[in-house]
Amino acid sequence: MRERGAAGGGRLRRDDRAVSVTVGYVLTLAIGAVLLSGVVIGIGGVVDSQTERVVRGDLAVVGQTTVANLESADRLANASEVDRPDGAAAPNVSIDVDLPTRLAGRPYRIAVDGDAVTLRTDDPEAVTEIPHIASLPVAESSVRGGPIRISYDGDAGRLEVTER
Amino acid sequence: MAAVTDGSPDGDGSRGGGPRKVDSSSDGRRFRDADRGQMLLVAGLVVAVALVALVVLLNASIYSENVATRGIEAADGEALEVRAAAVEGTGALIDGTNRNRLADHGAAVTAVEDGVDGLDAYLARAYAERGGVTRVTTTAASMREGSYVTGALTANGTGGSNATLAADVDRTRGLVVDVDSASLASTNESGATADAFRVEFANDSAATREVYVYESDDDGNVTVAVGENGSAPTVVCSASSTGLVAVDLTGNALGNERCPGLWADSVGTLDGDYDVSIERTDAADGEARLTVLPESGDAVSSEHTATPAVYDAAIDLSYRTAELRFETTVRVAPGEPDA
Repeated sequence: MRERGAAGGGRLRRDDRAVSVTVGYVLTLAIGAVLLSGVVIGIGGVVDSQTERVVRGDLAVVGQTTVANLESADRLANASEVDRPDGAAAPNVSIDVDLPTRLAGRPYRIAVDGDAVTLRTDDPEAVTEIPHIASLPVAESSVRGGPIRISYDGDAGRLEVTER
Repeated sequence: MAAVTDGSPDGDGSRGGGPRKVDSSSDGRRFRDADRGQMLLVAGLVVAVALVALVVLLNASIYSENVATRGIEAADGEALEVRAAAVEGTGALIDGTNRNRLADHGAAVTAVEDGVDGLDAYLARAYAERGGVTRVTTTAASMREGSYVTGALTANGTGGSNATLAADVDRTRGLVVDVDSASLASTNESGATADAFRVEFANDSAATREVYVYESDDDGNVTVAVGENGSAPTVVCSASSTGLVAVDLTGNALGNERCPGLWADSVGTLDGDYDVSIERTDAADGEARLTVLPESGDAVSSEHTATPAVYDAAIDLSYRTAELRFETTVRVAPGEPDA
């Protein structure tokens, strides 16, 4: 049995049939993996760059919308104070703006102050600042992106931006 | 892979004509071993998912850019339109009521209240079509009563050439003097105090402001000059006119020309309540009209015709849409100068 076994092992060692098939199989796998990785990395890069471009574009559009409505509220607030008799009830001016809650799937924040509206996302890190020309003071505030309300506080004489 | 066979002589169990069991086992092995193309499948799936993500992203981008080209601000123009329409309508209503010369203040106030109710219904109908809800209201308590004074540019039987239009006046609006340009005295800046027709405003401490109207002896234009405490006046404006010319003292206009500073430089600098009178009426023909708020009470004394009137009214105005709310109170006093 031993002789027969030793003889069989030697025969197997000398037998190189089907080796090319195995090597070919491994090579195919390796090349396929490299190609697939290339595709994934390449496509992923395109998606990331497009996402950033879309986020920046959307930040600008949403910022302009916010500024337009802020200035609109400013005009209405000024009009509400013209010829208002002393002792009359405080005017009530508010504008509801339906902004998207996410831009390209990313949440964002809106910060408002006396000079500009600033929109910000963390991933990708992008900031857009749109200046406004509201004549009334604007209370500094920072709200989550989404439906907001711009209102006029007649007693304090200033505009306020809040979430709704 | 394909090189791995089941060892059957024909290499394909389906053609061997052997028992069905052998064929089935042979097919199953072949499909299990047929793993070529799995890599391609995964790669295709990745590319497909990436393309879908790109399409969604670009669609979002296109939508945003499209939104950016639309009118993105709230329709604040309509709220301002409603305010302007309510103020203009109420002003016309007050003036129309005053011109009707109602018997007493109560009737005048009721007429304005009824008119504002009608205006409210009209505006509500007009803006309901645009998705807006309007409300315009007023109350008798929010109106101030005064006098509507009219009279020809004559002394009206006072014996001289002067007449008081309104005494102890707190506020004046809609003061217009229509003069016949052919009847005006021809003089100049220095001679105006002695020769020209004038509207005089005198307060309790004897300070006066005069508005002279005359024909310039230099160019024949109708000229308006403003003086203080009887001193030599300063020309404010002049215009070439024939026939009847309206000198709008509260509206700062001479005929169709603007006359800036006419009110602010004259009565606007006077303290306290004042009397309004026309003097040297022999130097002009025409008529004057004004609406006044008395310093106290609800009527002024006049040497011309003074009838009960509504001087001003505060209206509560509300305009609402799905995204906008505008509520305020406006005092309506048509033709009242800013100063």
